[in-house]
Amino acid sequence: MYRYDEFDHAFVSARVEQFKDQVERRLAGELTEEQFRPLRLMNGVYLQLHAYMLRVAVPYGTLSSRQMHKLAHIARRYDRGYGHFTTRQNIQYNWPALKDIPAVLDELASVEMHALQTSGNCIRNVTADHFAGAAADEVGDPRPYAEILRQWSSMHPEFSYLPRKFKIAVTGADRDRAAIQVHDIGLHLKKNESGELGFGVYVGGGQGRTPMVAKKVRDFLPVEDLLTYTTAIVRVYNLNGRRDNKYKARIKILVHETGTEEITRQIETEWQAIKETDLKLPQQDVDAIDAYFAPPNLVQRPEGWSELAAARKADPAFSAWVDQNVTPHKNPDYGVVTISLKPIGGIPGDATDAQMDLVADIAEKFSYDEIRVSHEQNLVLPHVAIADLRIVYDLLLTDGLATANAGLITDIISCPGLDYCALATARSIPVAQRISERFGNPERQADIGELKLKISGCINACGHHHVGHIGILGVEKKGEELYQISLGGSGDEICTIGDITGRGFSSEEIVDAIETIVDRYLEIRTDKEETFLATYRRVGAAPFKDALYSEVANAA
Amino acid sequence: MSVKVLTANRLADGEVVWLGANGEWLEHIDGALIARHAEAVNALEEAGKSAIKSNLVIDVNVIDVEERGTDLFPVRLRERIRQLGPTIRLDLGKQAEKSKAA
Amino acid sequence: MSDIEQPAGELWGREGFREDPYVTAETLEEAGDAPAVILPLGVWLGLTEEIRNASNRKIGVVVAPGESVEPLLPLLDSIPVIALEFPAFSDGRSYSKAELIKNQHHFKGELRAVGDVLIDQVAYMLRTGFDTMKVNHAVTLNRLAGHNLHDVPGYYQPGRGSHTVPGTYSWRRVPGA
Repeated sequence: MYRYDEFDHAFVSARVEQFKDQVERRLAGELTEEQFRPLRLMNGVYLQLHAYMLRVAVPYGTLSSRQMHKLAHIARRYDRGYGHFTTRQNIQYNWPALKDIPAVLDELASVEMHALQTSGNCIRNVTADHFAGAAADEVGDPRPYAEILRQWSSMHPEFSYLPRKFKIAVTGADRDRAAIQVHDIGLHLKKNESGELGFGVYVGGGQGRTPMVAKKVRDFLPVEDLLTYTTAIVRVYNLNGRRDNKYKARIKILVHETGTEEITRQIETEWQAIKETDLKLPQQDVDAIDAYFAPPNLVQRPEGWSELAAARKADPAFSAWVDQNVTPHKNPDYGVVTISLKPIGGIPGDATDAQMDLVADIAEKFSYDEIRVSHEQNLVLPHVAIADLRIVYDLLLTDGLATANAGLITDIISCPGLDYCALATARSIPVAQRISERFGNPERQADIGELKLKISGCINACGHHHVGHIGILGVEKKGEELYQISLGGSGDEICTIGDITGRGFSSEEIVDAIETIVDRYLEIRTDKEETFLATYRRVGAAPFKDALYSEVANAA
Repeated sequence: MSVKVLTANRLADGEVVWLGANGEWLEHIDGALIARHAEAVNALEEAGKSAIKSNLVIDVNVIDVEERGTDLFPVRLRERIRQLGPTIRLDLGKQAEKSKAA
Repeated sequence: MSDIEQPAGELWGREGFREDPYVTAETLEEAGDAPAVILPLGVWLGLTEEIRNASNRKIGVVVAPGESVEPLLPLLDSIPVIALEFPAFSDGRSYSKAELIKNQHHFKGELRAVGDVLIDQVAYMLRTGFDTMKVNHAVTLNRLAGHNLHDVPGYYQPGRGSHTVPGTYSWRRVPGA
């Protein structure tokens, strides 16, 4: 993975010093809250309901064991013994004191981490496929390009006061695990006919109040043009994006109102003017960054498969975990392990300091020191030998980290909701917990199969409900929490925004309503191979609406 | 019938506080200064503005509460969660301190 | 405000504070016989070429964030100063305009930032091409007077007032001419 050089160290420590100064000025009353707010946001510091919240960047979701140990330490020392992994592949601490935050940033800097640009109207932490560098189906590792973008966007003088936040995601496989089409810019790393690497470029996707699937503005952008083209896009946005209405300020609205053809023309015109400038990437620089992400030297471990077969036979629970949470690796002796942070009835994405330490220890011994954070709020061990799966499983089991539910209905994405968030209009975590308990039986969820359920506690859609196969949006209506259901969303390469079923459900009704939908799916699927999403795409909303509104009406 | 109190987060550590009848910012809602009519609400709003200026607190809001016996009960769920802590972690927030004390 | 060490009317540049030779006026008539004046974009564009290029006075132009600088681009050689407004520090459109005017279209005159500028934004402004700023923010004025620019030791983007570092990535720069 990428390592800081002197330049990076000097930059980050200067930023920490600046923020120390800003915090001191704020506490001394030299800066008003209005003036301090954008500065603290640039450093990932929000105010939530109970306290400040610090959002720490995990660039493209990649962590070393040392970094994970540090995150655990921060949770213990400055917070309440846990952290929350988010859909942006970041980690959030919910209880830090403002006066302690400079010290936390010092700690982070010591392991080459920071909280820069995890908030504010700037280019945010660049996200990538959490299986990058490991997945069997990968064309190229997206992380070197995410790293180049991370560097280039750091304290960008022109792009730090954009109309609104700006999110870039990169995927390196045709199977899109990074949800690139619901980002401001989505980059699809691929090869052209001559075998050269480049990007399919998508612009103007996003969720929130007005969900939009991104438009493809370029089928193949050579790697050398990555920064010039991105600059052109962001410049067109910075100049023309709406600033009169916060809810219309994202680039998706600009793309929508301008039209794909015209916005593409504007981007291309700007690009032609800057294409041959200093930002054109020399191959040697791309190679140098690429070298940081060279795959680890994986030891041949062919004995794993027979051992695995025996271990599976001996323990059905282990076998179920392998089926569900282990994904094929480029190297057939290895697997990619998903560590579910979704224990049945638990809080999606939360991990205690002890769990973080355990994962760090396991990664150090069994995953070549690498950990990933997924946008699905799980952790990933990218390089685990098949021969080590059993011991890794046993270790995970010691602290509740071996739930065999990756991709199943209890692997719920949920934003923090009204239990923490100042913007939320309803709680989302308790709903996730109750659904998880309702479907917690391992056989039942395995029978239901792949089903991505996502919950947001407000219209901002941090819980990605628009692209949930089943999405739930919590709102406040007449002082009560009300939950709206949408169906058929998907954040992968065939990206769709879910359709709202109709009137919402109360907190008491919502879990039954979800069960009604799932039961209807089980009745009408052609066979077990037809997933919920495939069934929905075949039959549409009608059978589900019928089940939902007639049954609930009858029950009431 | 609902009355109003003034709430905020403390600048230095973010702690949820309410303006007390004694003019101090309190960590618990008990003892909060209650506004029962429009003039008193205006006074609360003015107190909030001056507290922001003196950089003691941020995110100052006048909220609706109900008087239930001697207890003050915020009308909105959001404010009840601020008063107590996350509903999914009873070991955290003010509810935890209260149960520890009990 | 009493705590401002520098008079608010002064102009700041890399060399420090100096007197602003320009007056700002809504029309040329309003400016009287001032030798240097800055006019709103619409008014400036309405001037004849003869007046714009008159040798006895300098006529600059101020551009609001919502106004496009496109009409100015072919005329840059005849403008002594372009002032880009920052009515609120959060409105960043003028950074891109600075980039266009200075770096893409090689404006030789003075590019000025006017308005609500936080100290933490000054370094950004210098890097995108601003030469001077006329700031109304008291804390910023104090910090500028103390020569504390809140800059970082290295930049991850090319920009004015910086140079490349041998042996590192092409996009990186360090401060200095």
